[in-house]
Amino acid sequence: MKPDEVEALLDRFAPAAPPPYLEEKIRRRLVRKRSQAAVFAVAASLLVAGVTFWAIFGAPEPGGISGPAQQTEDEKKVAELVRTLETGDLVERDRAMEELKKMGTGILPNLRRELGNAADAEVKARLQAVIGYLAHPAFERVKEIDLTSTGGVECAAWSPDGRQLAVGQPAGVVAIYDTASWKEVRRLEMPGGVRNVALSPDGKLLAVQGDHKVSLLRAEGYSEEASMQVEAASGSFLFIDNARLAFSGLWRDCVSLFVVKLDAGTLTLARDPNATQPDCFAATRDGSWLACWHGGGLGEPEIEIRETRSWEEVVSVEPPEQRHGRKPQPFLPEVDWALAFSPDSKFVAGRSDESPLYVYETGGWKLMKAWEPHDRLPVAVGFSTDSRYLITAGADGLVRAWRCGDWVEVASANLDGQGVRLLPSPARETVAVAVRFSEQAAEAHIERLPAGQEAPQKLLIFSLREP
Amino acid sequence: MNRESCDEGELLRNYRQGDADSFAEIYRRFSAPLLLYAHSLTRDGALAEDLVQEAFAKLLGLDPPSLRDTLRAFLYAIVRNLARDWSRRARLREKSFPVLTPRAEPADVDAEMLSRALDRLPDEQRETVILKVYGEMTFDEIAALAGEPPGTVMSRYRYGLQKLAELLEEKP
Repeated sequence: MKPDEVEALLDRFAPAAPPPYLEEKIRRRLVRKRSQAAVFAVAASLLVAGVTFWAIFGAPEPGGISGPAQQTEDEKKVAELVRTLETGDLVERDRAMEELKKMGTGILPNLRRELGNAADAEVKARLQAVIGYLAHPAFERVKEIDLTSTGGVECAAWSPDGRQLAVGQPAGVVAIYDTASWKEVRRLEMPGGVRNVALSPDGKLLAVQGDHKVSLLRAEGYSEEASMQVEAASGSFLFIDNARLAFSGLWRDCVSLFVVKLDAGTLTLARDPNATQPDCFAATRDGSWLACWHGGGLGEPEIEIRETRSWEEVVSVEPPEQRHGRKPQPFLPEVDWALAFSPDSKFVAGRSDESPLYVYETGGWKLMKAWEPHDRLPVAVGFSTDSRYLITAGADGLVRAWRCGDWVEVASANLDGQGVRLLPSPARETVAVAVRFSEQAAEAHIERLPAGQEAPQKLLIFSLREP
Repeated sequence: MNRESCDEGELLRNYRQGDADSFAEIYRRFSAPLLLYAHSLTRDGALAEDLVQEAFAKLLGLDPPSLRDTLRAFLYAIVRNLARDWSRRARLREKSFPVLTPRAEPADVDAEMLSRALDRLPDEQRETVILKVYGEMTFDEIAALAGEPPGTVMSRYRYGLQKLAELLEEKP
């Protein structure tokens, strides 16, 4: 066979057609990208104008396939289904409701219009139920604080009542902000540096991790109550309860979990640091459980849950390995793990540098979902304070809200930057996305630093608002 | 508007202005060969679909004036770069190659035999043959994509066809 005959032969064949769902997947993704861009553009312009976003537009409504032809068909179908709600028997009405729910958020304007025109109370109630099912919350950017001139953001923590925000800065400063006025109300000089900050559940203690020391300060007056010399290590930093603090530190050259207790003005070890060397950890809101994510090393990766009084193991789950088929990830020499309990303790969500994001329910420790919430690592995770939404923020510059239960993405916002990283990042080549929440219901607060030394370093505050 | 006769730039511009049917035409033109190309690089069906998805998402997120290459060159370059990033972190686990489908009545070679022969070509030759025949790219475009001189690309294509001829004549 000659080369030109081979060429002719090749030409007699065509590439196999893509699977039918691929086009739909791409369309959905594009619609989502468009809605994100639209939300950001509107929010940005309204911030400048000082006008309230919600007062004018209401919630953005992502979803649905764009294009005039599709919208017309949707309108017709919605009208038909609403007629069924008016005239059909009970079974037909139920079916019509289910059909409407399946049509997605793109039909919300039509449904709202139909609701305005509906006279029958039952039809109104059914339409409201469908709208309630489809309507999604959305992120609203509340505040942006530029901290470039004062050294940027290293870490942050909310007071339990959400009225204050403690921001750790690399130059060894903790700035306390009043969240009503967003004014700095206090500035604490910490000569040993600031790696992490946390506030106790009762709001009475401020914990600060420096390079070589952990300090506890009385929030009233910010006088030092106690301190302990420990070499800092990258990792979680949290109060288990009002008297116990958990943090990562170096113990015999190993990154270990320290649990210390405030006892008569002294910090003492409440657990042997040799016991656990987790990659990250998280506590339930009531402090009864501590979850530790062990990345594996020589063993299998696992999430270990322990009761925090006896330190007995509650359960240990081994997430399935799901690397095959993952999207390509940029190679990152340093990535962080993430782990969080929902405030109602029903779910725990976590991911490692190599795994997808896993969500387990804590009743039967069943794996609810495993997926890649962002295109780029690392990813920070947290839950809204009402436990209804899982929030993720990724290095792709997005923050996303996922509805607990069906884990459908219901809102997203743009962090208007790239190279965002998790907090804390000791290497500091690029710094942070962190997701934290105040006690005010359904509020999500995200802070981030863009990549690069010269980039402005800002604290971005978002709220997750219901429509 | 007859979208089939629109050039690539016009399609992209129309899509950006809200014409959903222009996307359908862009997808119709490029999705199948792009998927074949992604599959040939990754040997992983699910991953290949992800790469194609990513490439379209990136393309359609662009403003047309910022597109410096042709639409075709842009899509193939995205898939190539993503596949390269992926291959740094993962080993090729299984050898599988998508089956081609005959355009009309096939003769003495069936689609599977041809797919297997393509699969056995050296990577550079396979890439060049797929881009030339199924991606309908010129040698200059392939050269730009691969970062090689056009002469090298032409040689790869010629050697690829010769090798394919040998492979197809081999007895099973």
